[in-house]
Amino acid sequence: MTTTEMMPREADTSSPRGRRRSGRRGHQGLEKYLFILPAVVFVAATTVYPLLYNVNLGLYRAPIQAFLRGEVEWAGFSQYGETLTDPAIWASLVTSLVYTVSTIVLMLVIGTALAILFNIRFPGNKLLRSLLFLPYVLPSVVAANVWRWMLDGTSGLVNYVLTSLRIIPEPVFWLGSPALALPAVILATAWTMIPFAMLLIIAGLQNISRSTYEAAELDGAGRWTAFWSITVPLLRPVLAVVALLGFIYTFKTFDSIFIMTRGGPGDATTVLPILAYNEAFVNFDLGAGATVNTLLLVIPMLLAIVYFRSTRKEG
Amino acid sequence: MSEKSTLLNRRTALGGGAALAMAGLAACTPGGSPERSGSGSSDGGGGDGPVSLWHYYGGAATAPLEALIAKYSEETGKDVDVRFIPFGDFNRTLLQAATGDGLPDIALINAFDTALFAGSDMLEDLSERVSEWGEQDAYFDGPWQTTQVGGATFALPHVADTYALWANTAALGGSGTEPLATWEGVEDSAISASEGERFGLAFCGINGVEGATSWLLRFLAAGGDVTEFTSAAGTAAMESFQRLLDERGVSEGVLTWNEDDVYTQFRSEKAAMMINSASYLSSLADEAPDLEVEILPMPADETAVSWLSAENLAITTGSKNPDGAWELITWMQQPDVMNEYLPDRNKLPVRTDTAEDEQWQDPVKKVFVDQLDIAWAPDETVAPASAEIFTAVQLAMQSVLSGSASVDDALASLQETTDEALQG
Repeated sequence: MTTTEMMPREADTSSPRGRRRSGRRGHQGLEKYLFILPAVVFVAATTVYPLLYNVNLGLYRAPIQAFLRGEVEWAGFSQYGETLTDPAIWASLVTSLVYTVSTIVLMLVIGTALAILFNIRFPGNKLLRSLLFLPYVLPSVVAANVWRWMLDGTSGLVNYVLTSLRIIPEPVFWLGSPALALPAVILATAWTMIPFAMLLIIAGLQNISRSTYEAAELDGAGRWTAFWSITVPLLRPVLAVVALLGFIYTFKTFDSIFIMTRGGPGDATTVLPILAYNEAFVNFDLGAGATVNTLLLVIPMLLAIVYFRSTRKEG
Repeated sequence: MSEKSTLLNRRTALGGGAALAMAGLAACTPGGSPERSGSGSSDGGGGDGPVSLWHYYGGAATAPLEALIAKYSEETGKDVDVRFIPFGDFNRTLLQAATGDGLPDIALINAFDTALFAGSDMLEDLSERVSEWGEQDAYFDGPWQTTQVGGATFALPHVADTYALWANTAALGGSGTEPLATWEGVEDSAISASEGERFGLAFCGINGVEGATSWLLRFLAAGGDVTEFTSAAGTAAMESFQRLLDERGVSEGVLTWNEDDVYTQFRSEKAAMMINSASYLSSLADEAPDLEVEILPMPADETAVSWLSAENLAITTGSKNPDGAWELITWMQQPDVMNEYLPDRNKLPVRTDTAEDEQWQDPVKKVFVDQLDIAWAPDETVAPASAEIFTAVQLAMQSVLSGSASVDDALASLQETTDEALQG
């Protein structure tokens, strides 16, 4: 029995017909890049160029006078080296990480608790959920000012409530105390971020099938076991996204901290964005400010890379 | 050749693009300003478009400035393009504009920043114009000195303000205001006037430049020099503030209060005295007309000193119409024009002829005006680094008051930052 194998015919590029076909395919290959060119140009101009410009600026000694005169001095990586050995940078990095991680923990724990609550049907659910979403839609400047007044040591609402309930014996200057200012700022930031977490986690919860819980219930699992063995594992991808987005958003927070404490008292709430601002626009040292900005860029970027790599492996 | 090898894959494209961009950037030295078209001389640079003016007067301060400019336009028939930029963004916006040839004709700048911007080639040298104009001797010395850099004039003063001691005489009780002539008396009175929720003295001590003023006033009165903080004056000032806090003469809240907060504390009688500028005179008269208030000169120690808070009008090197800009800023110097404008701004005149007007003979306003003669401002060697030094001053004060550093350590650290800032 004779069989005929149908082999894919290779392009005969030696013949004029083959060359024409190959040329058309190459042309088509390049054409598709033309479609994405506007997007590439836009991203390059508005994102890539400023980022690379910032990295490059960090390679120069650039006090403002020298910068505007075009007389900046090449420093190479020594300025980045100085930044990495500056105790103020490390103190600020630690403050940034404590601020960010604490905010995310609060956001995830309280956000999950609220999401579970609002995943249950009860009268007024939608109204309450909408009200709880208000802090997230408030402009950060407004939210920060509200917290600044609430935490005021002489006439703040927080002190009024706590002293009335006799939880604290006398008013506390939350934003004036080096020990309390950072927790106060964390609380204020978490307040604005919790609704965001809650909303995404509710969506995650609604994707978990009821039948999974019913099967677990038949197997004798209690609510607590079901939470740890079903809800948490199935919510993990959502929680990871919330944590990652929360990290990126919180790590770069500037406005609310600037309004509430301006980085003080002392350097108690001087996170990296405040330090970068001070270097560039208070001390007018643009090169030093750029090195801090680069650090500010690298950390969330590394985290995002690790996250996407891990999800790709899981996929 | 296979298709795979001829077409870009994602990694190659990204890597190649980044490398090309980085190489391109590395080849370019950042900074430098575009060639400017303006002319600093009085015989050139006339443009025909409207003069542009940038300022940072927000809130209640916007309307008086706009009314002033509208009056100029009405009188001269010339349009002025006025742009408000919030104070926090002003210097950054101006600097960005300088790198992109987008500077306005006139910038209304903080007097202490004049030397910095002049040193950055952002301001026109007005010496020749001023010499022809011939009115330079009409100015109070303090505001005028802030316009001088390297012997040249880079701006004209616009408005000034000084700091004084505001005392609620009812809250001070029987001791009266006589002891408040010295810092020692102020300390004692503040401590004895503290009672319940009321503290003796309120001042601004918030992070940043603004929070350094009160401590610097104390330091300068003790004979201090802002290039030498590890001195007897530095120790005296720091110990004085520490004593005030320890003995409840001031609230811990001072470390979180800006000047508006200080005013609120005083107006609501939660502070018997405050250190603040004349900016709050109208507000206090409107909001607390029954408060028994006496305005006193800043207390003395080794010397008597107040603080100059001022703004200057400068023509930028990016000006397309320096002649038009000069015409506007000189029009704004006229005593009758300023005497109509200043009361709405709660600011003080910068010229002695303006200050001769009857309104400045009012005993309260006179306290502020008289202090223009003793109002301190950084000289041109300190001014470009003043923001960095003042921020460090506030940090040192906060470290001591919050108990996180000793007086000696805080002053040593402050000195180190100051030395570095002055070296540039």
